[in-house]
Amino acid sequence: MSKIIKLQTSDGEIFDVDVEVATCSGLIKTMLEVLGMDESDKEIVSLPNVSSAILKKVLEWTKYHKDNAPPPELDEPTDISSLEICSWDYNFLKVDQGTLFEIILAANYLDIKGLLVVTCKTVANMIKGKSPENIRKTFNIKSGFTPA
Amino acid sequence: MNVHFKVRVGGGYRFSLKVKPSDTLESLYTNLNVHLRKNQIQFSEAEILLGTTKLQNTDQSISDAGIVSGDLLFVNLIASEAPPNKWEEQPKSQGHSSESTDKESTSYSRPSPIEYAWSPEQSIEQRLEKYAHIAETSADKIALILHFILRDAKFEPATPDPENRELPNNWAWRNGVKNLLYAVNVDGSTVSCRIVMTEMLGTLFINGGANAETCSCAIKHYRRYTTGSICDLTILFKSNFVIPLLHACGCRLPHLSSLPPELLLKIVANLDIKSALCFSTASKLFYGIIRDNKLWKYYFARDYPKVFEKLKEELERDWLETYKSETVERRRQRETRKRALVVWVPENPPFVDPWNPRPRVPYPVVPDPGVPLPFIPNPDPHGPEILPGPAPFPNPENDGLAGRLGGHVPGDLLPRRRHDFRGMAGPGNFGGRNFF
Repeated sequence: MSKIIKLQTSDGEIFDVDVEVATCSGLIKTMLEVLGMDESDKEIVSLPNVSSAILKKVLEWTKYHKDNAPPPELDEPTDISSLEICSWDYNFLKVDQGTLFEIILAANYLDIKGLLVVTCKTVANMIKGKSPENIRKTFNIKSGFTPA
Repeated sequence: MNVHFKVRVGGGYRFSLKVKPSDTLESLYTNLNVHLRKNQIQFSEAEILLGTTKLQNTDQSISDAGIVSGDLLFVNLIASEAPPNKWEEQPKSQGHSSESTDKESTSYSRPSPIEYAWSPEQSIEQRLEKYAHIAETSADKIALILHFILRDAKFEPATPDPENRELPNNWAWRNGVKNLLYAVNVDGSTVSCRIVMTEMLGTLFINGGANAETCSCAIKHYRRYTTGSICDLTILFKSNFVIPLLHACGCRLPHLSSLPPELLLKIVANLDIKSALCFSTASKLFYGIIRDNKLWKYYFARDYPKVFEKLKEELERDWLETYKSETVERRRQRETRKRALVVWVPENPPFVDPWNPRPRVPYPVVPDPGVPLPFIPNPDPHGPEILPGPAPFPNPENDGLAGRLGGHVPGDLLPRRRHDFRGMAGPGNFGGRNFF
């Protein structure tokens, strides 16, 4: 019997999440370790930086990946061929750019390393092999360079 | 004589009906109800549409209502628990989203993302079915999908269509052009934007403009988009059209340049050097990000791990310069190695007789005044030349094979012209020799 933790998003929605799933997030894990489990049973953890739609997406990912070990730290250089993403993640991250960046921010805030790595790779794949002009067009960026 | 026509329910299910022209619309409605209940389709109320006009449940006869054989009737089903118009219900059911927009304009700088105005029971497919009677052509369907996405991004039709309040005015194509006006609420002020769609040679061009900024996207071969690829089409519209349009309207949305630098560094760390340099020239912000010394240390460790082992103890080092010099050095080494592989072969090697070898002379013979030559050259440059020794088969007629092969040198396997066969054995030739 696993315990349930309550998460409240920025727009007020409350999610009941398995502790096992919630501890994929480094933020919640640390919180539970420091505060102890019994107390958190009644309290609601508020996440003011995450909207409900994004939390739904993040929970979907953590439910699927909860058994996987967290990936190694990014500071250790990895092989460049590791840009590959598993097909489930690829389909999961088939979203518009706004959502993708929201997920990156949420993964960073909640400290979910695996999700952060996968989303960063997805963005890197979008940049890879494109000319500067193409990158500007894809991401709707203004160059900001002083004109010559 | 009976009237045959087809009935399409909610865009998906179809069947044909056969009624008498004198029947009333009321009996048509009862017929339809019976048919649908038999097929276990749950609904509370159904309305029948001929084109865009609704047929009322009255005593009017079929022929008076304008239904003739071959017509296609649409049936709109209204589910028992669903509200009669989902569109009008939307702001109420999502009260918290409007709350969050209020919060946004006051304190929270990050706006709510645009995808989530809709709930799963209001997927684009379902809404397309609801408006199936308007979306006859694929261009119309794509326009409707864009319209739904714009609605989800809280765009309102600026001047609604008098017949269907949900759609903007001028929804119909006029001379192959659709000219639509929308309004969106940004930080309390209303911004209007215009969207123009044009269909040309199988490509749908969509241009949008607001606040003197424009954005556009083109969908090539738009006819190949089916109901199955709605997901791809939505992502394309959102990323390439709606988000730029929202930016043009002055909305602050999550954006690649709005990510904090440490996250941008994590993204860029996945790139190869060429892509990273391309990325740095895309914008001033990214140029600054790519100059980061730690990033180049990471790149160096990734690409040249062996050299990095030697250098990593040094604390102060410009890793960008190190990377550059290492790359240049490696390229130079590669090129010299490539050049060393090319062996220079003289065009006319000196003839050496294997039977009568003469002292080898380094080629080309350029007498070096300092080095004594291995032989004494002819003292008189104008004197008789030193002729080469006899060739191995100086005379092809006498090759040591008793002339059996005629006048041709062994090893010559190329096809020859006819007169070359003169000397060979055959009818009219005698023993390979011409006696006459």
